[in-house]
Amino acid sequence: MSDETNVEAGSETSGETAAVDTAQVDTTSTDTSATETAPADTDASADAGGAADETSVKVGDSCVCPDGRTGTVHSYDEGFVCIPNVDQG
Amino acid sequence: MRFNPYDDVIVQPSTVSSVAIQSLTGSSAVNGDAYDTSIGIESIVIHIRTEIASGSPSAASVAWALQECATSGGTYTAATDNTGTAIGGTINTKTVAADTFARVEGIMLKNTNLTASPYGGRLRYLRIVLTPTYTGGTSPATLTYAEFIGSPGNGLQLPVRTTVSNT
Repeated sequence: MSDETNVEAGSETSGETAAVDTAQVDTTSTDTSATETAPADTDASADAGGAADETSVKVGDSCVCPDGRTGTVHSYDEGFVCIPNVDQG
Repeated sequence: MRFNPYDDVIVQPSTVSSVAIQSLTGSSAVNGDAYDTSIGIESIVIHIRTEIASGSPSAASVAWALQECATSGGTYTAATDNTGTAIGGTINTKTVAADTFARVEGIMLKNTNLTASPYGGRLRYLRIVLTPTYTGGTSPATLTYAEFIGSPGNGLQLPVRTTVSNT
C-alpha cells in the first residue's frame, strides 16, 4: 500500500489507483452513531449508521456524513445509510 | 520472534453464499456472508477489488459498506467510525479497476451495554455489502472480490460479549 493516506490517528484508507475511495475508516475508539446526517438536498435527516427517519429520503439522494464529507444515500437491510462519495469536489 | 505472512495473517474472503467473486448487476445491495471475528483477530484490513464495468454504461460505481451484528443471523447495522460516519465508500468502476483498502480496529470491542455513544469498537460479526450503480449501458455488470485480512492478537481469544459478567 504505497500511497497510504493517514486520515487521523489510528485510521487510514489507502488505494492503489486514483479511483480508489478515500473514506475515513477509524474504528479504534469512540463511536458517535447518534450523530445526524442531513441529506444536502432535502429537509430529511438520517442517522449515519442507521435507518432514515424521514420518508422523503430516497436512494441516490445527496447527503452529508457526520464527518463533513458528501455522500449518497444507499438502502440496506437496516434502512437508508449515507455512504461517502469518491469525489468530494 | 519473526513475523511472517503465513503465521501472522488471517485471510478471509468475503463470500456470498460461499462464492467469493461476484458479478454485480442491477442496483440492489449484495450482502456478504457473516464473518465471525471472535477467533482472536486484533485488527483487520478490508480489501475490495473492483474490475471495470462491462456493458458500456456511461457511469458506473460500486458502493461498499461495512456492517456489523452481535449475532450471525441478526439484523446488521452500519459500522460507524468515531465521527459517526458509516464505514464505506464509493468506487468508480467505469474506467479503471481499483483496489480499495480500509483499516478496521477495535475488533470485538463494541460495548453493547451502552445505549449511547461512545460505543467503542466493532461487534462480533462483520460483513461487507456491495451496491452497484449504473447509468445506461447494456446489462452492465462489475466483477468484484472482497476480503478481510486480519492480524491475530496474542493468541488469547477475546471474551464474547454477553449481557452477563465475563469474569
